[in-house]
Order: sequence, then C-alpha cells, then structure tokens
Amino acid sequence: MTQIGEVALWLALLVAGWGAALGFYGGRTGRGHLVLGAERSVFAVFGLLVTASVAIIAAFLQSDFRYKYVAGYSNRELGLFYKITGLWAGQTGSLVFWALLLAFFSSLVVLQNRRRNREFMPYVAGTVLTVLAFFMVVVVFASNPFQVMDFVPPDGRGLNPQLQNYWMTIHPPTLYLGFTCFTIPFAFAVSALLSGRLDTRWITTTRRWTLLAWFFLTCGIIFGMMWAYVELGWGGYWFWDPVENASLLPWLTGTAFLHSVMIQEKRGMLKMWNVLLVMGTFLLSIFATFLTRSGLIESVHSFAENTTIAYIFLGFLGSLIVASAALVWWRRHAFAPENRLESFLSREAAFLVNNLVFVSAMFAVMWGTTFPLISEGIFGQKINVGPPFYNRVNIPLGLILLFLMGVGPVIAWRKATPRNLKRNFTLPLAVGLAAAATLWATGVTHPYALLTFALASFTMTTIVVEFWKGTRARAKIEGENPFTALVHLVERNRRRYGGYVVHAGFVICFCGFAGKAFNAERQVALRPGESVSIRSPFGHEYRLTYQAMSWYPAPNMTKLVASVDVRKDGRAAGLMVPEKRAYKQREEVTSEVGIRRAWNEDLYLILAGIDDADGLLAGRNPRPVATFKVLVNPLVPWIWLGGFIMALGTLVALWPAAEPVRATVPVRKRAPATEPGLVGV
Amino acid sequence: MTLLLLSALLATVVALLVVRPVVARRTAILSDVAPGSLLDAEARRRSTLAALQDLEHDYLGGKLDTADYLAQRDRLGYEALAAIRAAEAAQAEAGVAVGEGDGEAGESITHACGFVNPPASRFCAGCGKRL
Repeated sequence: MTQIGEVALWLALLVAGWGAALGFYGGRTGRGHLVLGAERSVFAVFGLLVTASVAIIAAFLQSDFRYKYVAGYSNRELGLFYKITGLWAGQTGSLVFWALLLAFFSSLVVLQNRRRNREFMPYVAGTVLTVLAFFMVVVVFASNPFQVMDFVPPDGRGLNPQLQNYWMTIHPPTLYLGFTCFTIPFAFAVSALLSGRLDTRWITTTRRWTLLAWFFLTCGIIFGMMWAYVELGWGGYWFWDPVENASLLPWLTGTAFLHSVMIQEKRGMLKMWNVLLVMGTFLLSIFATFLTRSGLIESVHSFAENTTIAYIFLGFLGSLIVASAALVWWRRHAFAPENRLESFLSREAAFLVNNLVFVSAMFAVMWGTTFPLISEGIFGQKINVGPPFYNRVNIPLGLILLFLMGVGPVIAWRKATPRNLKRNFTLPLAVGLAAAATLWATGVTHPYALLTFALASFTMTTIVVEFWKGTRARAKIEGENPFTALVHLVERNRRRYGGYVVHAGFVICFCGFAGKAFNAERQVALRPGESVSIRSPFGHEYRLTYQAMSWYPAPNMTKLVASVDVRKDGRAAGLMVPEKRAYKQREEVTSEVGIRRAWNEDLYLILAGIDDADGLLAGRNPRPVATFKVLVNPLVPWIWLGGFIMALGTLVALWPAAEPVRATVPVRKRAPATEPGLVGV
Repeated sequence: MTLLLLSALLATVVALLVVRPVVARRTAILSDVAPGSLLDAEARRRSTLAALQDLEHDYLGGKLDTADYLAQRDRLGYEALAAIRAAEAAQAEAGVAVGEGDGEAGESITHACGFVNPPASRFCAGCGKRL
C-alpha cells in the first residue's frame, strides 16, 4: 500500500503547478477565487507530502526492499530510529523531506497571513508553490523514492555507518528547517517586487521569518559540528568540507541581512541591498542543497549518487537568478534611499562594513568550494582547496567581525563624535589590552589566538557594559531593583538585547575556535599495560594506560572496544572506551572516539588501529597492540556553550512581544513598549 | 484494486480542495482591511518611533553628547511627527477610526514642551520627560 506515496507525489506535482499558476495569475488580475485556489493548493501539497513521507517511512519500517531507495539505505537489523530517519538518509528521500518542510512553512505562512499582508499573499503562494513544483519535478522524474527494482534482494545495503549516530535524528532536520525557511523571506521579496510595495512593511514581516530560518540554520550548523566531532573521528569539528561550506553560505548572507535590515528600518537606506541579500540567501540555500545532493563535488558527506539531478538543479538555479535579477531591475527606481550615510563613525557604517565582511567571506568560501569544478572545467583536473586557504581568508575576516561586534553596540546611529567614542571605548579597550598583556605574560604568543582573546575581551566588555547601563538606567527611572530592571529591560527590548546575547555567544564560540592554536596531539602504539602521557595547554598532565581490548557482536555490527584508564595530574579520572565498529552490511569499519569533557578542554582518544584484529576475533590474540591518537582540544566545550547561547539569544529576539492591552484598560496602565514606547528602557 | 480506490479517493479530496474554490468562485480576501498606503504609513510610523526610542536608549546609555542628542532628536522628532501625520491622514482618508486595533489610542498627548506624542506614550518624544 506504500505505492500510495508515489500517487501522492504525482498529485503534489500537479497541485503545485496548478497552485503556482493560480497564485501569480490571481494576484496579477486581482481575482480572489484564483488566489483562494492557490492558498488551498499550499495546504493540499503539504497534505500530499505528508502522505508520501509516511509511505516512505512505512516502506523502511516494513523493510520493503522492492524499493531501490529502501534497499540502498536500510537493512533488516537496522534500528527503528535509523529506519525512520531513512526518510532523509539519501538523496532521494531528503529531497522529499526538503519539500515537506517547505510545504509546512508555506502552510504556516498562509495560515498566519489569512487576514493580513493580503496584497503579498497571492505572489507568496505562487512563489513557494513554484519552488515546490520544481522539487516535485526532481523527485518524480529524476530521483523517485518509489522506484521499484527488477528483483527483491533478501536484505538491504544498510545505512552509511557515519549516519548511524543519534545526531542523524537531529542535525539534518534542523539544517533543512533552516534552508527551507529561507524560502519564505524570498517569497515575500518576490511579492514585494511584483506588487510594487517595497516600503517598510514587507521587511518587517520578512525579518522574523529570516530570524527563524537563521535560528534553525545556526543550530543545524552547530549540531553538524558536534556530529563531526564525535563521529568522523579526526579530532576536529570543521573541515571546510564542501557540504559544511554549503550550509555556511546562506548563513553568512542571512546574518548580513539581519544586520542591514536594521538600517532600512531605522534609516530607509540599503533597500535594494536588502532585497538582494534575501534573494541571495535563498538562492544559496538551493545551491547548498544542490551541492549536498548533486554529487558533483566530492565530500566526506558523500550522500549523493545521482548526478543527473545536478543539471536540473543548475537549470532551476540559473532560472531563479535570471528571474530575480529581472525583477530587481524592473523595480530599480523604487529603491531610492531616504537618507544618506552621514558619518563613517556611525552604526550604519559599522553595519555596512559588517555586511561587506560577511559577503566577502561568502564569496571566499564559495570560490574555494566551487574551485574543483572550475579547475576541472578550465584545466581538466579537479583541484581541491584545503583548509589553509579558508583559514587564511576567513580568520582575518572573522577577527574584523569580532571587532565590529564590539563597535556596533557602542557606536550611535547617524553620527558619533570622537568624544563619545572615547567615553564608550575606553573601558572595553582597556580590558582588551589588559587581557592581551596578561595572556602574553602567561606565555600565549600565538598572534591570531592572542588577537582573538583580546578582541573577545573588548567585545564582551561592550556587551556587559550595555546590559549594565540599560539596567542601571531602568532601575533609576522605574525604581526597580537591578534584577527586575534587567528582566524588564530585556523583555521590553527583546530584539536589541537578544542580539547582544547572540553576540556574546558568538564571542565565546570564537574563543573556542582560537583554542585550536593550542591543540596537543600524540600518536602511539601500545601493548596492554603500557601508558602514554600528554600535557594540556592548561598545564594538566594526562596519563592514559591501555588496559585491554574486547569485542562483542551488537545489532548490525561488531564492536572492538579498547579500555583505557585515565589519570589527570596523578588522580584517577575514569575510563575511556574508544571503539572500532565493523558494520555487517557495508563491510566498513569506523571509529567511535572516546571523549572526556571538562569545562575548558576535551581529552579526545581515537582508536586508530588494532595490530591483529583478526587474531582478536578468532581468540588467538586477546592482547593485541593498538595504535591510539590522543588529543587535548582546549576550549572546544566553549564552542558548544557559545552555540547554545546564540540559540538562546535568537529565541529572545524572536519571541513575540506582548500584544497591546485593549481599550478597556486605562491609558496609563497600558503596556508601553510594543507600540514603540518612546523610552524603552 | 485497493490502491486504485485509494488513489481515486486522494485525487478527489485534493481536487475538491484546490479546484472547487475556483469553480464555485469562492473568493479570498485580496487586500487588507486597511489600504496598503495606510499600512505603509503605519509601518513607517512604527519604525520612526522605534528609531527615536533607540536614540533615547543611546543617549541614556551615554553614547551621545547632549548637543548631538538634541540635534538628532529634533530631526528625528520631525520625521516621527511627519510619519504620525501621514498615518493619521491615511487613516482619515480610508475612513478608518483612528487607533482601531490599538485600543482607545485616539488621543495624542501634547506635552508642555509642545511636542505631540502618539497615544499611549509614557515619555515625551520631544524632551524625554515622563508624561
């Protein structure tokens, strides 16, 4: 009965095409019944995609190996969770999943706007349905999850071992939520261009959706880093892999938009730039999906198997770029700025530089990511660009951003005088310099790391001072105690203070990245009973003693587990159990690392090799020599902490403000800040 | 056979959902309750007032000299006033009751300094004093 899923996919294609045509034509001609048809189509496509997705999951749960997709990504012994996540385990299913999430957000936006933004909605529905129709074309004609094989294999090929991790249930959906959610701001941009209403209104609607997309994408990227850290087993969290880069591209432009949109809201400037950023961010999301799923660029995340869809994607991407550029050109006269940049010592200027840095970083990452394709086209040879290129370009850009994060909150809109700057910068600069001097005195001489910690101290001070000044002013004006004043301050200015919290998280993340400069690493071959010592940059001495090697069969795999006793500064610090896993179906061996976490550093242990694994399994050699790679990764926990704080800050900024109290309440008791109270402290 | 029946059922439900409004000419709302020009003016009013709020915030936070603050406040105050008047004019033109959806906010508050503040203000946008 799972074939009903294929029927649903075909119907979804037809309905998406029908609804897209109705939306655009209904909007253009002002015919309400056509617009209603388009909006209903959005709900119908969502329902049909839910049906198709349930059918795919049912096929996985029933181990229905008639289907090529199920046979390629599952086997009988695969756990229940991984069978459910089979929906997004491979290219085919993940395209359905992408469309499902987009249909979900599209339904949400239609529901949310059934009584407002009505001039925009026909085109919004038309745009999202066009994107959905494209995905349905790809799924139905080039990558059908219900493709039946000529014969039914007794068992499936199994899921890629690297995907057999609990992050599989968390990371891809979060990342895809981010990618798909960026379609909604794009749809509003298209609708603003088509309807000619390019005033502040579309941007205020778009901002919240962009923030939501940014939230998911940020979480998705951080989760991906966590997954890479525990699963890929090379000791790092970011490898500048094409698929990782793909997720970073829309994040960079999305972040730039979230800053530049403030300039449009406050000063009526950068209108065209904002439209271009919104459109570019969506196009980069499609590009990211194309990169991940086309298989044109080799990646450690090799999930793609069908390069035919690469050309369909490129065609769609090309059409979108041409159509977007044409729309912007058509409305080019509507983008006249209402104000001009009055001073380079202003928040506008700081945001402008911030935007340029983000977009430069995006171009640098894109250049490095697509260089293998470009080099193949020109020289006939794929030349991959490695981490040194990305680091050389992006570390300085990141440091500029870190500095701007400190400048932005301190500097005023329009114009700041040198005297103001002196007054507001003195303390943060002093703290930054003192941090640098202290670290230098304690032996930290790595230039980038030193600069990062100094700038982080500077920026964090500006953030703390902002909270302090705001709290103090509110406590003084309202007569509240400091804690209540702080809570009310954030509550009444969620966007501003949520943004500061995000900045604080970012600063902490940066410190975590800088910790890489002090990584300690050793690789040794040990016999049971032998030890290795490693010294952490924080001065701790870890002594690891290889005790024994054991093995046992587990569902879907055989595990070979090393037991390693750990002592920190001579005191017992537990047991680490790095593993090798031999998966039955794919005959692949993967490493499961052992990690001992502390607030400031991770002890990271990889079982790199076993001298006589066959002897161990056959019972001939119960005490094999094992090769271990031991790393001390300083400040890595700060990256996860910073990521958590960033997510928290985004939620604060995103959380809707309380609705204004209605007429029955006397004026003086009304909530002041939602309707902009004139002093919001 | 069951698949065929289910498919037919699914197709019928979907067709009823997406084709029926078109055939039956059931219409969707095409424009907001208030006209676009009014909504644009309202959005502009809100963003200008938010800019003024930020200015106050920056001043209270010690990021602006008094002279700078006063100069910017005057200019932004005029912009805010123009935005409020534009919004009110658009409201009047549209025949929409002033402050609809905004409680009884019809009464602007004129402070002793002469600045006309929007309804429900707790502080004067002109001089920053409590109303």
